[in-house]
Amino acid sequence: MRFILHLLGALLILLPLTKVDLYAQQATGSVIIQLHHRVGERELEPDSAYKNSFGEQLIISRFRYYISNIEISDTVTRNTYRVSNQYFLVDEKDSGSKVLSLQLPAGQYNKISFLLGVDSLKNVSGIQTGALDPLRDMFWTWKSGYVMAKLEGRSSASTLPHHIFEYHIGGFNGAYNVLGRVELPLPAAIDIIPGKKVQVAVSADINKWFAGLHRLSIAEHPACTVEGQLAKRFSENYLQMFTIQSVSP
Amino acid sequence: MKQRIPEGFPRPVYDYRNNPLTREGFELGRKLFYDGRLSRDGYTACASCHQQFAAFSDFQHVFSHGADSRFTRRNAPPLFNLAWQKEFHLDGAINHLELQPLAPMTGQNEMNNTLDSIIARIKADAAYRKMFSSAFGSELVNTQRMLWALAQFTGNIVSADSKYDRVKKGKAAFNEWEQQGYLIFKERCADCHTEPLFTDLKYHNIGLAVDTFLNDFGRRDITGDKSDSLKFKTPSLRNISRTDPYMHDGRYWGLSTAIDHWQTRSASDTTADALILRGKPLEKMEVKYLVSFLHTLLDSSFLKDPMLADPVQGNMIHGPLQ
Repeated sequence: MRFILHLLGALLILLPLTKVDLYAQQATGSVIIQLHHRVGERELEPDSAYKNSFGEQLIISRFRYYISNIEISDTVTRNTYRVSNQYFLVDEKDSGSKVLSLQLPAGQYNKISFLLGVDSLKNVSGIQTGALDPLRDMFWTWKSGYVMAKLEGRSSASTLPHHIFEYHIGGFNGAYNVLGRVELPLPAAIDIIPGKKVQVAVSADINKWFAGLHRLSIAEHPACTVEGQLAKRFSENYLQMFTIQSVSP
Repeated sequence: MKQRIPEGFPRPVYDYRNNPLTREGFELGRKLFYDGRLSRDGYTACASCHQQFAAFSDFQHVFSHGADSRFTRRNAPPLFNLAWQKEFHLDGAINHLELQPLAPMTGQNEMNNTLDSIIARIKADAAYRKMFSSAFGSELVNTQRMLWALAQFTGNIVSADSKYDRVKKGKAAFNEWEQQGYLIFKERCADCHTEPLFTDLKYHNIGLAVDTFLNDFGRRDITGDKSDSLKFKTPSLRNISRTDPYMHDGRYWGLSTAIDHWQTRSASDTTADALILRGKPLEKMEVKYLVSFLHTLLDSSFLKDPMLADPVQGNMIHGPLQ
């Protein structure tokens, strides 16, 4: 009995240490996802004017979205590394927010996928902090839930005051759930070895908001700020906006 | 500090597992609840429209006055036994106790403030920084800690010491009218106003015609589902004699007027819930008995509970702020 107690004691002391060791063993290499925002072929710059597929003018003042539940996997071995409980608020205005730094165990990987938005569980779990703080202005206070993606600006095609357009896309359950996974196969498998940093450049094309799965012009839809069918359509469009630009080394 | 869970109540929905309850956290939440500085104009606290003597409803107000002389569009509900609610607001728009205060804080016709401004004001106050430190271990002030503290207070606004409760425990007895009223209540009202919370926490259309100025369709505006049109959450009947006027838009003054709604509602009103259409009118005396019973749901010790009172008399009056 006494021996068992001693053993338990020893285990209790060792437990935190082993946990740290395991973590150190696991997180050996890193993948750095660098997001590049653009409209069509052109890189996004503040206050510049662009055109979408409809030929409508676009001046973008705000572009933000959540990325969560990132998975880096290998489709051959089915080896999957899940980045749990990390929520990234990507903001065009904040260059640091466009760099997602992930530590992951050694191995071969050929696909990156992520949830565009905040998973439904976090939408029903009370007040959060960090990237999920409602202070970030990505939370609906009149009806609980995160705004998954925001795109705001001006366009001569808009019929709203000051010719603004404003898309706040949200809804985490039911028929108009806008959450969706973005799957990005890598052009070639990457090898993660201790100390190695792999840079993955991902581009997000804002034009896809208007011309993706659905054709949604600014003239016809200058605003979408509640959940519903239109929000669902915008989400189905923007889920197509990401592509892998390059992987190095 | 232990969560207040009255004898005979079901397990609460909100249980402080992720927000450990402490006396310091509760006191911080209480101070925030009574602090007008949370509003843009510096005058309008949570407690402005949720007054303890009115069971934390807005006494004798059809609609409430928000910051800058604006009006709300619904009758302020009383606040108690909130830890048993799954959803908040009469249309269930808010899915968590901790998140609810965000709506009045930022609502233009309520406290009309922004989170940035609220957090900045709290941070600037040394007394608050000290309280955050005692409640959460450091002076860090953020949205999460502020709302955790508020939930420590609001989740412990508990009412379960009315005459009805004492009768249930064998410590008091109904008089004859109250007893008659209780029997009528159990037969006619208890399906929706389920004991011991006196609400089924569900949404019902009780056949109230829509006010064509407010155009408030209740639950439908949240779910987008036509079948939810004109449905509102069943209010608890606890402390009901103190929360006049009644219904989501405060259209009825007096308990007997509210009960009369079921007497006069047209049978051809097919949009109402079947449960309500089934009812038959009450006799005049039955209404009196029922009103007598409803009075036994007033919890006078709760209305005066010093633990729930304004921690600093006059604390609510701060404004105007620049």
